[in-house]
Amino acid sequence: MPASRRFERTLGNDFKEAAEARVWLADCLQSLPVDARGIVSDLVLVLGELLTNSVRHAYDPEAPGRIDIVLSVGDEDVLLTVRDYGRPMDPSKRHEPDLSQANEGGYGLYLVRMLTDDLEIDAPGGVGNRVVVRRGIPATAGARPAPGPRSA
Amino acid sequence: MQWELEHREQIAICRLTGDLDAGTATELVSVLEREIDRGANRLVLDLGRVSYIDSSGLGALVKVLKKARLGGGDVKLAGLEPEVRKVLELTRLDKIFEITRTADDAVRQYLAGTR
Repeated sequence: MPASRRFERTLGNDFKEAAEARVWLADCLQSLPVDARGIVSDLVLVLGELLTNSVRHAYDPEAPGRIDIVLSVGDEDVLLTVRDYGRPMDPSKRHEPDLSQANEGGYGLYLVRMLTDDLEIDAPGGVGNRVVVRRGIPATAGARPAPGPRSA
Repeated sequence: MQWELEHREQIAICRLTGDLDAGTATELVSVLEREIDRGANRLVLDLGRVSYIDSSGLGALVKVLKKARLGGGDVKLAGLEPEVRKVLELTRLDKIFEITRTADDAVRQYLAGTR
């Protein structure tokens, strides 16, 4: 059975804490094979966008709010879960931006979709938002020249 | 995020250092809009020391671009790190902004008379 490493972090609805969480995520992903490091910056951006959504839209600016992050790093993929307990996301705002023009907003979830392989959004118990994304680790990642004849 | 401003022949060159994200974008817009209001509507943003930009950062760049172009100016982006270039390409904003290798290249383009 493939091994999986799990990391957890909780933060408040604050952009400074969100920036610190991005650094934490990059540190957690340093265990990835060297060949897979290219996905680290993608996942850092994905986490940043998800945290921005929670901080900006789920909670009122002055009200306290909790955001939980769970990261699972397996041999084949990385799972990232961001959970808040504020206002549920408005599905009507999940539209694709018009890329033929310059937009001042609307790129956040689009970037998350572009940089992940799977995206699920729900609200367990009807409370807040839970976003789960999966990003596969390239099959070639971790491959190293064999030191000698391989055993079957 | 930190920035340094330099002026050359009514061109404002802003050198940014740090992350251009939801926590810093609003202040950057204020700084750059103030420059435009003072008459420097030809801007160069040197992003050579920015390795992280998110959708809020992109929104800030677009907001400043629109204001600059409204007054007949422009915003040129210089020195993009690979991570930043990738985000601009994904959103196709690399087709909207003029992108140069260095800030000096952008200044030369302005002085050569292109926008």
